Amino acid sequence: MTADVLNTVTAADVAAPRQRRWRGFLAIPQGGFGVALLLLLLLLVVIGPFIAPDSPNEISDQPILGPSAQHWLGTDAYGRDILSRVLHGGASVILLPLLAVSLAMVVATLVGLLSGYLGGKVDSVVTWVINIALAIPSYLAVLVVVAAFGGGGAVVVTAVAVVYAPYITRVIRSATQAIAPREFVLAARARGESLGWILFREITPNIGPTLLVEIALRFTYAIMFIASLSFLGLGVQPPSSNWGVMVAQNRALLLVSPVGVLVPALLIGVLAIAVNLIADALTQFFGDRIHERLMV
Amino acid sequence: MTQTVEQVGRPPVRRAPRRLPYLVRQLITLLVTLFAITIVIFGLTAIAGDPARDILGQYATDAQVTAFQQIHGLDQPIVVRYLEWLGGIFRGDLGISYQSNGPVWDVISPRLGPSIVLVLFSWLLTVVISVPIGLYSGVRLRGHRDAAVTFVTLIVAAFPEFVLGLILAIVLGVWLAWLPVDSTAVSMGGLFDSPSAYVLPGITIALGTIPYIIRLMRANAREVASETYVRAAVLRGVTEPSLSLRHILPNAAPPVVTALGLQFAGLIGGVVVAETLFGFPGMGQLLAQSAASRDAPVVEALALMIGAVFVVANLAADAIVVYVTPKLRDAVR
Amino acid sequence: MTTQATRVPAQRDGDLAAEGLSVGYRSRDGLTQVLADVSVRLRSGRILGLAGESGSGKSTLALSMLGYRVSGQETLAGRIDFDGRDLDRASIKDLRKVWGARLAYLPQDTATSLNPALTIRRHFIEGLRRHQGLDTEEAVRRSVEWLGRVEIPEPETALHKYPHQFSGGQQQRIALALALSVEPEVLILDEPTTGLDVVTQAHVNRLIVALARDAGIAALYVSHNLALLATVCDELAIMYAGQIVEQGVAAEVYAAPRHPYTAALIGAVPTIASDRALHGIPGIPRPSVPVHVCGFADRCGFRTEACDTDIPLVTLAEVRSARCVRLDELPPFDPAAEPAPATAVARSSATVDKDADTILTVHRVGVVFSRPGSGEPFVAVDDVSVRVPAGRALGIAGESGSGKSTLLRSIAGLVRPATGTITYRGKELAGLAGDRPVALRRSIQIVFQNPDATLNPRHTVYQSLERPLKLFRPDIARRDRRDAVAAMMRQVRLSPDLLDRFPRHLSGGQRQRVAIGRALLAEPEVLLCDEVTSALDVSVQASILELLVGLQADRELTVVFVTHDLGVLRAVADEAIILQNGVIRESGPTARLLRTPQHPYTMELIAAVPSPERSAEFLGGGS
Repeated sequence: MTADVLNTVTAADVAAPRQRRWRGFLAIPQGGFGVALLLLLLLLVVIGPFIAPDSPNEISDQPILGPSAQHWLGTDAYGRDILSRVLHGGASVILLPLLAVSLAMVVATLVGLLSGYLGGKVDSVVTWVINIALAIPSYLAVLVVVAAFGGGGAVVVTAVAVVYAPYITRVIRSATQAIAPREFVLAARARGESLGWILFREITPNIGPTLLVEIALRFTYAIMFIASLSFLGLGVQPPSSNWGVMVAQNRALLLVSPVGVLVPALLIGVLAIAVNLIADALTQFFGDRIHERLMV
Repeated sequence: MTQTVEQVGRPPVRRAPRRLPYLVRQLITLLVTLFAITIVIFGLTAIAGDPARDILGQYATDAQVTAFQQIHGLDQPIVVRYLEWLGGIFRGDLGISYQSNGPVWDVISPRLGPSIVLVLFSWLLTVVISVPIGLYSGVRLRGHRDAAVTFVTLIVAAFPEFVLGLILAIVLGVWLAWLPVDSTAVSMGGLFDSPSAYVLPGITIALGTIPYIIRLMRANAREVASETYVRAAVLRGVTEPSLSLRHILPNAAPPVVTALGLQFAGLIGGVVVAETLFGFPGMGQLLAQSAASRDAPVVEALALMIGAVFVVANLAADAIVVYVTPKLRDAVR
Repeated sequence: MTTQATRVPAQRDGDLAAEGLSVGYRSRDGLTQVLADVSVRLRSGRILGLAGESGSGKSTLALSMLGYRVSGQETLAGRIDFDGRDLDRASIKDLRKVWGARLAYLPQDTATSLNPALTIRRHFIEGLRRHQGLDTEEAVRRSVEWLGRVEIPEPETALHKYPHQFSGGQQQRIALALALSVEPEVLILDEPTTGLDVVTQAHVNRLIVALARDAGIAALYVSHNLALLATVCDELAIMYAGQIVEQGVAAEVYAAPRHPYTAALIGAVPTIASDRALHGIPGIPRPSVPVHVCGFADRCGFRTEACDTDIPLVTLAEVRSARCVRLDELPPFDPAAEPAPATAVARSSATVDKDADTILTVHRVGVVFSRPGSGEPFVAVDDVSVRVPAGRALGIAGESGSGKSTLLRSIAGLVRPATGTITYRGKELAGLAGDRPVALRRSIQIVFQNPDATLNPRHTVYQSLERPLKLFRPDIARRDRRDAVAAMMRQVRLSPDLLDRFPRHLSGGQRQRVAIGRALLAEPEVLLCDEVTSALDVSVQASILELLVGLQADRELTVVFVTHDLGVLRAVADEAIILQNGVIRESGPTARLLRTPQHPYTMELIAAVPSPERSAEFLGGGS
């Protein structure tokens, strides 16, 4: 449908490898800032559990206390120390999206390469499936899955991977289609190279940068998506101290003690911003235009 | 004899089958896609297995489970269930809710109006804000001011809707106390009796898509502005605003129109989150609650409705794009 | 004797002149100068041709003459004089009054010179209303009149159409009408016919010259095609590395160039008229403006120590000047002479006489594609039979869409023919290369057109060259491969030092040499060449053609060479085939075919080749 009307990806849109070194990437303001921010957050998530004053699910004081010297961010409705929960709750916020994106990437890269290079009937079937899949909004698909299988981390990760795979396949298929008619690929075909050589040695290195941009972008979306699902009570389940879950649980305290809600919420935002900045810098660094063309 | 030899090297050319008119083709696509969506939605719920035990809990008696299965037709083969469900949709019967035990339609109907108003409000907000800013920054801005637009959209785009909504609620609702942070008022009285209750969720939803549309509009405007025909127009003495509005916008608009079509129902993510966050009694809130309580009939019905809107909005956007692009207009003939 | 700029005393209204113009681009990496001390004057009723290879600064000059600056562009010295005003320092408000009113511009890209979202009518009346103060009705009348003048059929109907509903040549004629309809005094043409087929090109050029002369317009015609400019222009300026190196009356400059670069360039232009050998210019064009040295010095056969200084433009006659310190000492131009350092390899006629067997037979081959989008079938090659004699060079010429590349690709096994057979030494070839036995794949190698895409950007030169050895040459041991590759590099005149570089570090010409080397490492008997020089500058093209001709003779290779350029055809091919719409129109020995064509289509093609010696004929030629 929509994708076909304006699908005009050319080789010039495919992210190109650059002779510039990675130092050049850090010199792009978004790149340097994004990497610094991400490293900072990773540090917090890794050493957080060791420096947290209390364990995350321990009832340490009166419920609903405002910030104080003893509880920097106050306590929640069960009397748990919010700071300790924040310091413990970051890992799943990062790991679940990472898992979902990795899963989707592996499948989508293979399907996208094959469908883009082989064309013909294989491509028609893949395109048809993609178009149907894209005709269902992501949220809707995941919510239907959750309604059918119940919530929880594993279901959400699988569902998000399945929902994202067609989007990624579409990007990789377009990039492959732009590269496949290039003359070095024709030269390889005329030499009689094997399918594996052509896909992985001739084409893949040339769509590598596009893959990188895609991973970064998808990771941003997955962080936001899975955090939102946890906030809706469909992802990671209480009593986990996942930041999304914390926002949902402490929302009731909004009028009494906003910091308890604001801090985990902002941390999710900052994490997504860091990855998004990196994605944007990668787009600039490689001159990638496929994502703009395909409107993802 | 000679005739056959003549034919040897001439490649056989079969005439392409006559193509149906564009609108008919679009309509067929629409029906096929909708049909596929019903299969996906129903199939997902069906392969998950029998939910009776999960819903009734481990202490339910076998008799209770059997009764539940009978009421909801779970004892039937899957194909029969699908056909009955599909047939029911045409009769206006969406099934029985697992949770309320009443008809699904009765659960959904009071929530339709508020959600439609909310979505229209957010969508219009998106269009009115993003298109002019995107066009202006794509055509006119260079250097620091452009970097500022890029940076702000990048930051806003990376905040999930529930975080944006919370920040808005704290600033506009708690600190400044301009707007209610709770939208339950919408369920009482008429549709438009409490307009302020729409504002915070509406802005929250719109903020989820505004950065994306701004960036798309900006990128396209910038690309068109660098085309030879725009330079040629400048060198024919064409001035603003004709240059932006007549020479650049019509060429830069099509992808944005497509995206706005996609976003119309794509707002559903924002709607679910914002309605839940602000306690807005709409379809999004219902969808999240029903998914959490595994009320499959309600989720299926909502998914089908939203899916249908999505497909229709997409095809409408496609048709508009084709209509405003002379080259495509000729190609579909 | 030596003046900074060639000044012509008579100054009339409507004259536009660059005076000592120096221009640079500022980027993150600093300032790059692209024009240095350029002086040209456009005079009413006369067309000045500006010739130069890519990167010479000719397009920058064309836009600068209008006072138009791209972002980052800075004027370092000089001015643009128009009616005594300096356009370079004029306000944008003043510029908009002259742009499209007194100064008109016809851009390069034929496909995008008109706005795809606007009707032809909208394009016309906008300018006519603004600049000529016409009402809509009068503007429409004027547009119809101009569309008629550029020979657009049914002008009234054409007015309501969109650009994409016209062919490329028609679009460019409409753009020409659009530029001229406001009755400008000056017309700047930036490669206005590049990308069009040769017959269409000739038609548009005839119109440009006739209408510009008729209206008494002062025109600047920028092109990379020296022969074309020498045919259509009154005066000629040759640009190299941001400087004008020679200027004068077109016919004089072409017949008797004074600057070594001009002479070398003319020697590199393939022509259909004579048998003279092509000579490439060694090296690659200088990427930036020279400082304290002659810009051409590093490629010049006449270089002495005297060249290591800023070279002034020397005025030789009223409209003749050249930028060389050794003008008085250089030998007079002789197109047949070897260039100073003998690099040229002329085609030896010995190969032609050899009585050869047929190595490759294309028998009644047809190829069908389905059009993208509509899926309608389209016959690219229609019942074509060709016999390729062993050890000879066969040329296949035709316009775009003639099916020439498709035919070549079907021989290479990249396109499966719908009908017919291709046999190699009596053995029938499978449709696709992957299904052919290794020995056959090895025997037929192909080299492609686009130097940017012919090598995998992520493989080093060595990786690219090693591949055919791995696949086809088990006789060469693994440890000897590097030596074999290095030896091939020398054969294609490249330094083995480049082996560990990536393609992006190489120039277009160097990449094509690597691609030829990659094909030859398989030790093929047949080398298929698909427009291998059409994306290269003419001086580089000549050296690649020299290389190919030399290799073909040394290795007794069979070459099938596809080209759209009849001059190139003449330079490389013993026998030639003319293809149109997938059908062979004429075939025979190249020299005879070009001298005495039999088919009307061949005659039309030949008549469309610009030829400075027959300028009047070309410009007045029948439609």
